[in-house]
Amino acid sequence: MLWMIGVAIKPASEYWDSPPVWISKESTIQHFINITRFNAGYRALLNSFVVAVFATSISMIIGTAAAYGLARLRQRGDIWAIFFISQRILPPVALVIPLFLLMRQFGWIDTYQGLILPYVAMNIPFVVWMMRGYFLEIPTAIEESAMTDGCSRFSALYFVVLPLVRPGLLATSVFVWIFVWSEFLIGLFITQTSATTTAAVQLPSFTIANDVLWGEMAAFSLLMATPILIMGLLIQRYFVRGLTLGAIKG
Amino acid sequence: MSSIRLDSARKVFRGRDEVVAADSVSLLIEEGEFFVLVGPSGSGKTTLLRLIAGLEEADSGKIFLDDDDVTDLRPRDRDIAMVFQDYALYPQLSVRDNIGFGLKRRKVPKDRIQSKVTELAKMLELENLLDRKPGQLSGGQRQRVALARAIAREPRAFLMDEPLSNLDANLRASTRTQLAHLHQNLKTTTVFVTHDQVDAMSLGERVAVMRDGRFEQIDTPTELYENPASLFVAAFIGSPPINLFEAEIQNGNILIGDTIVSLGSKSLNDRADGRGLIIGIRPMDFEDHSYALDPNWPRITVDVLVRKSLGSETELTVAVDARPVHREDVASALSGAGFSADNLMEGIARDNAIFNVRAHAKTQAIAGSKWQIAFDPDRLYVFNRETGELECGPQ
Repeated sequence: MLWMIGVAIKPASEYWDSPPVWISKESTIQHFINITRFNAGYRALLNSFVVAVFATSISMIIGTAAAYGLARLRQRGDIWAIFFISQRILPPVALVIPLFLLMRQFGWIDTYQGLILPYVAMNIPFVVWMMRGYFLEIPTAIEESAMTDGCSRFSALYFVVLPLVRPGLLATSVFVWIFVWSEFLIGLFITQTSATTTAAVQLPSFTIANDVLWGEMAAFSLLMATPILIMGLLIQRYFVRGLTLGAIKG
Repeated sequence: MSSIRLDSARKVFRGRDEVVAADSVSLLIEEGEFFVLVGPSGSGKTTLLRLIAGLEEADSGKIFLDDDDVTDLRPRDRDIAMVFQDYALYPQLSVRDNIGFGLKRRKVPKDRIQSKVTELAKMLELENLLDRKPGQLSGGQRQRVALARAIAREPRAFLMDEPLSNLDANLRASTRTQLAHLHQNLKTTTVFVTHDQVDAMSLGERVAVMRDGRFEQIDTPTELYENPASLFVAAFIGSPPINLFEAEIQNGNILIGDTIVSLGSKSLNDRADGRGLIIGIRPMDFEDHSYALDPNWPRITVDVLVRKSLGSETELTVAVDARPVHREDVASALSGAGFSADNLMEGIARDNAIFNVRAHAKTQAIAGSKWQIAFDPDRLYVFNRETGELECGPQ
């Protein structure tokens, strides 16, 4: 990370200096400026942001709802849960061509929805897997207690259960955001112009014909990584609890 | 406060096997009654409670609170409060908010909630704990919060699902007393589910003994003890459990070892010679012969196997020259009530009934020797060997 910061601000002539230069005396922001001449430039970050926000929120809403249902209504060895979760096994690369053809059919190539919907579909199994685990940790007695106390099933979920799985919701959201933010393959096919090119798709384009524009790449990577860093720091404490699925005693 | 009525309520669980949890049962619980459902695990008592609460839907039959048909109502609309075995407190809320949760959901004004919470905190000694979270409380404290939460709602009935099961012995005893006091004060109709017959006997105004989704007997604790309808109830109720052996009528008497006991004044279905009966004598109705209250009591000679001093009494495990009872209903009652099957197994191995005797603290009986014990012949329980029904109870 530190090296990346260093590269982002050092003049091109000093890339290869030995001994390595950490922070150049002639630090420049030229690389940051140069980014605007590429493809979508900074718009790529905006595109990624829009796509990530929608894809994450939609998959969280649908996935969490499904996860709750699958956690509470258990049938025949949870066969439905296994079915949904098993979709993750499919490697995305197998999907690319059919997906492209499908999106073209809809006229959704190079549109936001053409990216968001496949991402939602691809991430729902993950959300279901994670959130179902969290829901299973909550004893049903708590919801039943809320129901006898005057809640409908829905308000019991909203007032009692969701606050209890909040660490899970946050941790899962961040994971989904990261998946979407860094997704390359599908993005490569669906995006065509700077209208929708995402940051992940843009990044390799800093490798041009004969050269690698290290400075620009480093600068761009820095900007790409920043939101994720911030999110990670903010919900850090939930991460650990989320990963260890902390026990909740009623 | 309401009466509760079940009308042919039926609930079957279909899994790998089909379990009839409630076998078209009908029941009337009076307004203000403290009613106990007791029985072994799987007998259907929790299912019945949940049917009344609305957490389970009956396959057929109806459920009434007073004259209101609540069969199709959701739990929130039935105005009942439930206390769960593991308390089910809301972990993210403070004790104060836990108690007030139901009231808040029903849009009761804030100041009323406040005064109610304060009142209950005082009643149940929770005043210092109001701002703590459930995770910071002991088991007994959580229990009291769960109770406070239920009481706050002023419901038509309390439904309690084994609320004492997670408490240690001392706490159980004191909480039992507390519950009894509460009921005296509040007089709310209460349905109390437990597998512990001591709970049932000490708290219940009426007790229903359940088995396999059906009622074996519904009666007051005293009646259950003195006039058990069947061997199952006799073996289930009473701690330590009743001693049973097989005998045949001979000239209007029965034989235990060499001792002849007259069935003289007892009313039996049939006094034919050779007829097989099952006789029961409770451990407390035996006594060391030297301390027997009446010198005319019949005495039997037994092999003393174990002597246990309990302080105020001595518990003797003895082998008796009588045929042990090997029946499925007795075995399931004993295991359901939490008694070990050791005596039963031992008895079958030796082909001698193994009895549990509560004797005087200063009894001279010692393990490994023979001794004489006496019993009051009026305290015999006589059961029909075919049906297991009680023909004649103690006088």
